[in-house]
Amino acid sequence: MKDMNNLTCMKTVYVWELPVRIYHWINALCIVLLMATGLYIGSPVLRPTVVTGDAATVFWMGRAFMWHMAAGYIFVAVYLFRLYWAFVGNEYARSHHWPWQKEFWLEFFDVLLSYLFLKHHKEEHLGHNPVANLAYFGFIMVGSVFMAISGFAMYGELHPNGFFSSFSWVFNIFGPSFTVHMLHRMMAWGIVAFVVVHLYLSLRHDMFARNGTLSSMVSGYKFHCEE
Amino acid sequence: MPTEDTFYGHLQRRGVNRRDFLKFCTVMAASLGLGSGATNQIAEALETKKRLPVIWRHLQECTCCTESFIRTQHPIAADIILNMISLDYDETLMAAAGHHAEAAAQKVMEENKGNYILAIEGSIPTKDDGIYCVLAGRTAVDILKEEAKNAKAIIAWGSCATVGCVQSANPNPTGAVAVQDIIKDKPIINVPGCPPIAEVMAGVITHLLTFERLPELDSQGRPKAFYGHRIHDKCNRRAYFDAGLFVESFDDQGAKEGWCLYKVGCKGPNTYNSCSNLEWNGGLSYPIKSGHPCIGCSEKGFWDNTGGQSLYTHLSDVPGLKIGMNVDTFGAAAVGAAVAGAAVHAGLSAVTKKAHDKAEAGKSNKNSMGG
Ligand code: SF4
Ligand code: SF4
Repeated sequence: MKDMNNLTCMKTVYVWELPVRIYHWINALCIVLLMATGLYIGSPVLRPTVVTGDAATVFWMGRAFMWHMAAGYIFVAVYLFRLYWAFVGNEYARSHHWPWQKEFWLEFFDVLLSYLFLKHHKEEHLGHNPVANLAYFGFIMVGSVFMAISGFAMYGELHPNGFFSSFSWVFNIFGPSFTVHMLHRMMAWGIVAFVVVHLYLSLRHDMFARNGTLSSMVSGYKFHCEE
Repeated sequence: MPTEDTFYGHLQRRGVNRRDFLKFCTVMAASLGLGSGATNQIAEALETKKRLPVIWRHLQECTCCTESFIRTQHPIAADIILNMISLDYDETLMAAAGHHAEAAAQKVMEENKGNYILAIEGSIPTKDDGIYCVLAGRTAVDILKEEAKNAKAIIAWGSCATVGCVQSANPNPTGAVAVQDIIKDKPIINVPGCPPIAEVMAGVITHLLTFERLPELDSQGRPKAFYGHRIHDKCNRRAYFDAGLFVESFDDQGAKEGWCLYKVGCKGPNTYNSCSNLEWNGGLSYPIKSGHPCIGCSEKGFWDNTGGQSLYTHLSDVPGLKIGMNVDTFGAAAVGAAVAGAAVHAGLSAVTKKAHDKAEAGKSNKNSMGG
């Protein structure tokens, strides 16, 4: 960590390109929508106030399904776009080290120790740091793919002769329909936990490193600080 | 009764008229999801084909599959089990006992090598050398392996034989497994349900006899015609599900109005079976219609799905973590832990930063004094 008083943070670096920022916010919106509707679908605690019992006048669960599917499609669409952008975007648009490489773990522990207050971290990561990278790998890369695939498999259950029934292999791998539903729900909670940590760390970076982490997701720019 | 006989010949002798016979063929064609042309095909097969030699084994089970079958409402369907197939061995239904019975099974195997159907009811205990199910001095595993060897195909009746059912529920004291866990080199038709619907069982046999091949199966070996849809998809309470009108307890107004049973534990959305389609007892009713949630009896692991919780809860425990913790409780705890962790970390960050700043300030002070 640097001595704040002597920092000059005048140099700005264009880190997040516009498509990355758009992806980020659409994705965030999708997660909120998916979580809200998904919570209701699995455990419908809210109930229509009508007690006349006429099924024709309300369509709550049906709507929740509709929005869940719609948000799911968008979630997958922007995800695929982001995947493409990892190849054509700037150097911050992709990971340079992966969890199956040694360099990844060296950097990872370096950053982890600094998060655990055991070490002062010198290097600056304008893109994602390795700890963030692992979280992204787990929740965004693996987690989102799992959510999408299990989601499509469950969607396929509604239309056993339709296109999404081609996802039925999911049930042979992860277990019967009920288990897949529960795993889908568990991973959803995992993603919420990730969002909490993500929000906290972004805020913390913004306050401690003063490199404009928070505003960078709107403007695209981060500050590069020098002593 | 000669084994060369045809099913129709047998029915004629029983005084069943042609009209009833054709009605039966139509019902079978329809429930198998075949076109009207199939009615004639089925009728022709039943008129001309030799009956199927079958060994019907009762292993570790309660016999509810057979009970279901022999209580079918359709008089001709009831006849199938005794006549359309030539049931040479069935502990429950045959007259022979003891050595005679075992000799009968032996005879079928020898005379119809590669041609007989092996029907298995019940799971197979494998723990302690399989001693938890022994017939005529031999374990169920032994019998299954031997009789499967020369069988043309195997029908696994009921949830026991297809996925292990209650015997394999946690902690599975006898090490019970399904037929497909032991036999890997034979075509197996899985007909799950505890028990399966009688008409479904009749349909499977009719198909085998008529077309001399297995019905179309899904990726889990179940006949698509009967297990292609979920209970939920044809449920008579479905409109209430979509509306969001749920029974909260069995004595509330919603229950009286016939609302959806999702929140009192209905597993219809996760269960593949024909109950909401063919219904039970000759199309009279089925559990949900009668006000009881589906417990998912034809699904793998349905006893353990709610892991220690009541069958009348909808959300399960955490898969793999058999501690009876609800998924949502678990998820909320994980999110809570993340929030708490962030708060603690923020506090520590502030403290260490202060200390660090102080140290830095001290250093620069000393430097300036020294300079
Ligand atoms: S499959 Fe389940 S149901 Fe059928 S005999 Fe066995 S216990 Fe009874
Ligand atoms: S009662 Fe069960 S199967 Fe029927 S609509 Fe409700 S949840 Fe689905």
